[in-house]
Amino acid sequence: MAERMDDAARRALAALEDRLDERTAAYLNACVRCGLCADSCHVFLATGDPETIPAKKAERVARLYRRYHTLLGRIAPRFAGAEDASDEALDALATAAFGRCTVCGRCALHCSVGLDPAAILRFARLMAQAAGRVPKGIQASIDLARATGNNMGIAREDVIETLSWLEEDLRDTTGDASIQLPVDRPGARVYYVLNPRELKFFPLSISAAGMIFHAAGENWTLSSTDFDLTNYGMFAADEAAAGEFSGRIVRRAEELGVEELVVAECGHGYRALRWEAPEWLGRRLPFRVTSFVEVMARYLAEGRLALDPSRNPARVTLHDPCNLVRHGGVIEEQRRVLRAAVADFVEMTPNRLDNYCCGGGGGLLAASEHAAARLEAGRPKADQIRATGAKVVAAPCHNCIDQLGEINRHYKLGVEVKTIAEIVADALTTGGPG
Amino acid sequence: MPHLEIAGRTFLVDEEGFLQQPDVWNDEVAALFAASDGVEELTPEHWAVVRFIRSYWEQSGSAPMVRLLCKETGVNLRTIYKLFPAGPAKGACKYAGLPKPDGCV
Amino acid sequence: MPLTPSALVLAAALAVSAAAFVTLRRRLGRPLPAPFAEPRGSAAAGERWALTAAFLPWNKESSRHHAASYAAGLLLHTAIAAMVARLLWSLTGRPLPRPLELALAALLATGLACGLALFAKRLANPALRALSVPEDYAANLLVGAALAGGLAACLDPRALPAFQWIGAALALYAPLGKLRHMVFLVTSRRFWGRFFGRRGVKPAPPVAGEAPRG
Ligand code: SF4
Ligand code: SF4
Repeated sequence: MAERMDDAARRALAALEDRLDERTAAYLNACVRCGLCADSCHVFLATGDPETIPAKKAERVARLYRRYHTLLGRIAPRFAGAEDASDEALDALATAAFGRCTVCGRCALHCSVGLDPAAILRFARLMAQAAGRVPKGIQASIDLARATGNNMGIAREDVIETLSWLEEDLRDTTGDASIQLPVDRPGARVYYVLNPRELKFFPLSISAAGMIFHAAGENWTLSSTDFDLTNYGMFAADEAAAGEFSGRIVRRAEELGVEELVVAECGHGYRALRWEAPEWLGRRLPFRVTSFVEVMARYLAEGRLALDPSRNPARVTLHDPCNLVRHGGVIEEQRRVLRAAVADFVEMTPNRLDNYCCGGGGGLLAASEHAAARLEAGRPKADQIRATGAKVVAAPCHNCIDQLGEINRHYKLGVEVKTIAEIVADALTTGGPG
Repeated sequence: MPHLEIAGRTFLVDEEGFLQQPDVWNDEVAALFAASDGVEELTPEHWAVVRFIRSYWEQSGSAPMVRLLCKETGVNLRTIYKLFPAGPAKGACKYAGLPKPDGCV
Repeated sequence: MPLTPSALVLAAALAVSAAAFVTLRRRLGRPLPAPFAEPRGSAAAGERWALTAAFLPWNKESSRHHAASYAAGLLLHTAIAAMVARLLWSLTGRPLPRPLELALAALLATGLACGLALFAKRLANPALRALSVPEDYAANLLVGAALAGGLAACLDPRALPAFQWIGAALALYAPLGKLRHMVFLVTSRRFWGRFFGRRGVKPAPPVAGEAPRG
């Protein structure tokens, strides 16, 4: 029977047909809908809405999978829980994947069967993307990065001027005239990439990194082009865009001939460059990719940083970004750095791999249409922060920092949110080498 | 599209409270938006920042870099974050009646 | 003696079921290419962890927070394994020692009770009900029937043909719906373990500045 189906549905189903990998398919076939993953998800904890149970969100894909790829779903769709690719089904899929899930992966660690619902939800984004249902703000950031080279449309002169202005400010405030923010320096060992929001609105984290590199005597450089570590292509499951964005940085790093690509504090940017870029580009990278958090931990272990924790007397707690921790394996470094840099460090409960997402991950911060849901989903994190009695929340991710700043105001937590580099820079006792 | 009601006036805003009607913006609107965000008193420094952002945006269609903001208004970088606890983007730009900037903000 | 109609049908159903599972696994989806990113941990260690320690009740929040459901699930699945073993044994046509039959009967009865409890939970818990599809209830009842059949057969050999008929139905149904998780649970855990093992997330992460572990 020739079915009439609109283009969006056809594209979504073509994605399901051609792009579904055996791992995600195994996950789709393994879920028993036991519901035990429900309270592993911060969105469900915040809302209690059954629609936000990880498996229920994953069902948005599974229902289509069963309808078009299983015998039972074809002959008895209602019985099997299978569904046609209608407009409503695709809308629900997009809302679940982009608006009610940050792809934080917490459910993956607690599924009783041992599957990864977040991987299914990543695939849901891929289908929604094929069906033209990427949230406007995420798409706008992709388009801007495509057109201008970074997701805020910052011009090259503005990068250079901002960095030289910062360098001057850094020399004034530290009284150390030898400190540098090197740009496009050939022969550097380390290439440090940024989140554009640092350059545009929050540059003190760049100054902090500069102070730390300087204190450690690192041979490093920034770049006036291809500096944008973010990857909204990854959020949209748009692999062409994602590969394009990470490809720029990889080529720039190769041009500069560096040994190590260091990613500023950003969870998804780290994951994209460290773990996904080699797969998108289909090759191994000729340099190491590390998070600045790992680099600071390494400097400390090598005795290259002298820190005085009493310079950070206020109580500090730590937020673990999902993409750095659960999808990146950077788990202990941030705590070792903080223990050396602050006088009173307290863990949130739960923490490390079990941390709750701040609610702003997965590109949700850019998806204005889900802003209210995003703030609501930040409640478990707000409760966690409040329970520590901390005055400062350290968050090695600019994306988390923005969301944490919002929940700080929304839930009246009265904390300050900082990058780890800023906290470390405040504790530095060495102005420079020798 | 949502509406925001402040002091008896209704504004068309996006889901994050950024003004969607550029033509209704004026000083009074800026003060109302700031107040509804907890910034009750607008000092001359606040005004310098908000007005510069506004005129820069009217000319270029985007928000200025914070470097330019500091340079043109004479306000120190660290002071900006004290003046606008929500930050330059979600604070100052919002009160200046700009749409939400793209990226991680 | 083994060549009763029910035993023959059961044997055929088992063969068809096995072939269906092999086909399903083969046609699962695009094969994953070997990854290029430098590993941080060990994929093999992750896989081992996923297939062993990950089952320990304290290693997952779902089992820590839902101890009763987890225990019921564990007992149910142990009973199902015993039931399937009993079913396979029935093809030999030889009886089991009486004490073993009785022990088995106790296990199957416990598993049946657990299965019914989970069925009741699915009906009673609003969130779980919202998550469920009709097949969830049907599959639960079909498994329950097989457990009941096994229980009866353990207690009274005359129930054996009925047990085999139900067993054949179960074998034929298993690849069609959610019961496929009996195979894909293992497949999933292996993929899951390799993914998180490689990334240094499980079992235990290495730390920068310390010697990498083997
Ligand atoms: S815990 Fe796992 S198997 Fe159970 S409903 Fe959630 S995803 Fe499915
Ligand atoms: S990935 Fe995170 S947000 Fe998404 S369903 Fe799982 S726990 Fe919830």
